[in-house]
Amino acid sequence: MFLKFILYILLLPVVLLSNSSNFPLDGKKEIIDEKSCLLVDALYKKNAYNYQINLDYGKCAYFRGDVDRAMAAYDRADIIKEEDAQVHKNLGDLHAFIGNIEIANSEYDKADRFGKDTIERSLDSLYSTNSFSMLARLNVGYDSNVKYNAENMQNWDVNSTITPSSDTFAKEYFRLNHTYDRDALTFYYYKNQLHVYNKNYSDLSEDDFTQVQLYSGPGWASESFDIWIPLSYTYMATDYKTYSQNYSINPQFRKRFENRLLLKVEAEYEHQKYLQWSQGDKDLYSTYFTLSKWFGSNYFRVAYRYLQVEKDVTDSPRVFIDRKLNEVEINYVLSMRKSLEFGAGYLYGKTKYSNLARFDIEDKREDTLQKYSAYMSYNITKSIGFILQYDNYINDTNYTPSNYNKEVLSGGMYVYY
Amino acid sequence: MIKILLIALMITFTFANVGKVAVVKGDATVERDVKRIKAYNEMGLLRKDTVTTQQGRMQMHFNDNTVISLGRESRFVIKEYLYSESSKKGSAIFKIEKGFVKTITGAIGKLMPESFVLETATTKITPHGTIWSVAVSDKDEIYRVLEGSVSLVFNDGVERKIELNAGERVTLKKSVDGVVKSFRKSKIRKIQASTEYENSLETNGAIIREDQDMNSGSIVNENNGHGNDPGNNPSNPGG
Repeated sequence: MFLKFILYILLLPVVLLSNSSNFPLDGKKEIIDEKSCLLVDALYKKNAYNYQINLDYGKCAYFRGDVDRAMAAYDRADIIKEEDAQVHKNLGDLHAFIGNIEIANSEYDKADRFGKDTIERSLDSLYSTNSFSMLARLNVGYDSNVKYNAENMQNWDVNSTITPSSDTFAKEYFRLNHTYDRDALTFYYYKNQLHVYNKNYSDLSEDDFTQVQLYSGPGWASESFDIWIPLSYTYMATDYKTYSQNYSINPQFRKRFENRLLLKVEAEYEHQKYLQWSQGDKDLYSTYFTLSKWFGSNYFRVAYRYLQVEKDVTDSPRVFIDRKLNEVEINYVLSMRKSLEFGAGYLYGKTKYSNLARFDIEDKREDTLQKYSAYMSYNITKSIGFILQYDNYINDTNYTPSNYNKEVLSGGMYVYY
Repeated sequence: MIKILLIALMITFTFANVGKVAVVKGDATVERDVKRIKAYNEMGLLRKDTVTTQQGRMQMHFNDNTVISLGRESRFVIKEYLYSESSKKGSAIFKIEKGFVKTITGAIGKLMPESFVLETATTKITPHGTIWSVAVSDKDEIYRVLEGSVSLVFNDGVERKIELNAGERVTLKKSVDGVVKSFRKSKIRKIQASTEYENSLETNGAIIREDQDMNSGSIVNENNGHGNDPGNNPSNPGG
């Protein structure tokens, strides 16, 4: 027995070092695998009071994603041999993994105190003052009714209906996110976001659409809430001619409850300055509530948006600017496997305008938009995936030219880094 | 006969091990009835045992897999403990009189949190999660939640309840007679902004007006009905 134990102590580091594999919890390389852990399990059953065995038992529990068991094993190792750097280094890693940064630092301090060399802190690699993330998407698709597109509708006549014009398109989207966070223990951070979107039609190039949006502002985050108050600037163009420049303030609040429930509340004031039209400037006031929750592999989301739009120049002769929108959206997502996701959504929006729908009737214009959507995405890796999406829009209104149906089918890939 | 069986059952529960000392280092004792026994590895623990560490530290494992680690100069009482492995039901009442205790919740705390209570002189703690600790001294009590959450209820009769989530800490200041003078809740950690709560609907929800404002209407000249862009002159009837 004693000989076996001595052999173990001598051989285990060789076994561990010879079988490197990916650590399953945070993607870091760790020199440990299931085979060596089975050996550790057997030895732990025979000698549960040995420092090294408890330490290795804890590493194996950590490797298997069992934080409770790892914590208990490291605590035992700490009781048996308190002044050893290794156990405090491992406790530091474990606390860093579950997010207890302050305690992790205190364990790393002990490891430094008891060890000969300064240890490498997981926090250093997990945490950076300036963090960047990027998302890029490239899609191609088919639109059954391009002519009803955004606000670029110059040639409509109240007495006519629009003949649907279908076309194929390619669209690109890019988002860059930068967060400055001085250290892990302060609530304050500063975040910048850049969104670039471009859509080109094969034939109907006058409906090409480009948007660049920059967000920048301070935020405060803790374990359960996040507040971000950005100012934003948006540039929009149709057919590469400047269309509008917008300025907004958009406070956003997120609160995470237990059981993966998330509440998002946003408010926004935006001033839209139109450059292709005179006296078309407007002010937008909106609020947005979202409640979402995961139930195992099922995800549900309910969102409500209220938007009020007012003319910037009260006596502007433009019509259909002043309006109020109430919109509800529900979404369902099924995560079938880690890499495969299916989503479905329904949106209902009612817009009431302050202008009459026509001069020959008394009714004010009212639009009811319904949107049915579905998508399927497949992640090849953590960062790259494919998506196929279908959207169906149905707009009912007493303003004849705006009565339309529209189907959009698109597919493409995305890259996240 | 039934009485005999009941008495036998009670004796079994009274004298059955509710857990064991998983590991002990340094001076630690277990007070049982009028006896004081030096704690040792694998030592069985019974209901009503009082575990005291001097310069030692120890870890105890209970039958429902609750893990309790005690720091130095601590005094810990197993007031009640009942657990049935077959039905996965039970209840546990522990008390930390002084020192430091760290708890990794087992089956009772996970499946029946209301049946698991850790008392201090000033509060009753019910866990809704897995890893948390309490440090008790004459002057204060410091509660830290590392994973999950706990509820603290004050013993002073005033209906006060504190919910502590992972990464939160509360410090209670006590007067000489053990009454809570004040308490302060603070964070012991912070996570970055992104979270597993959000799926691609949230994170990829690009703010693209073209898609959002499908229904936002046209800009036309009021004076001429719904005609074309009048250019810079709004009174221009347009084409």
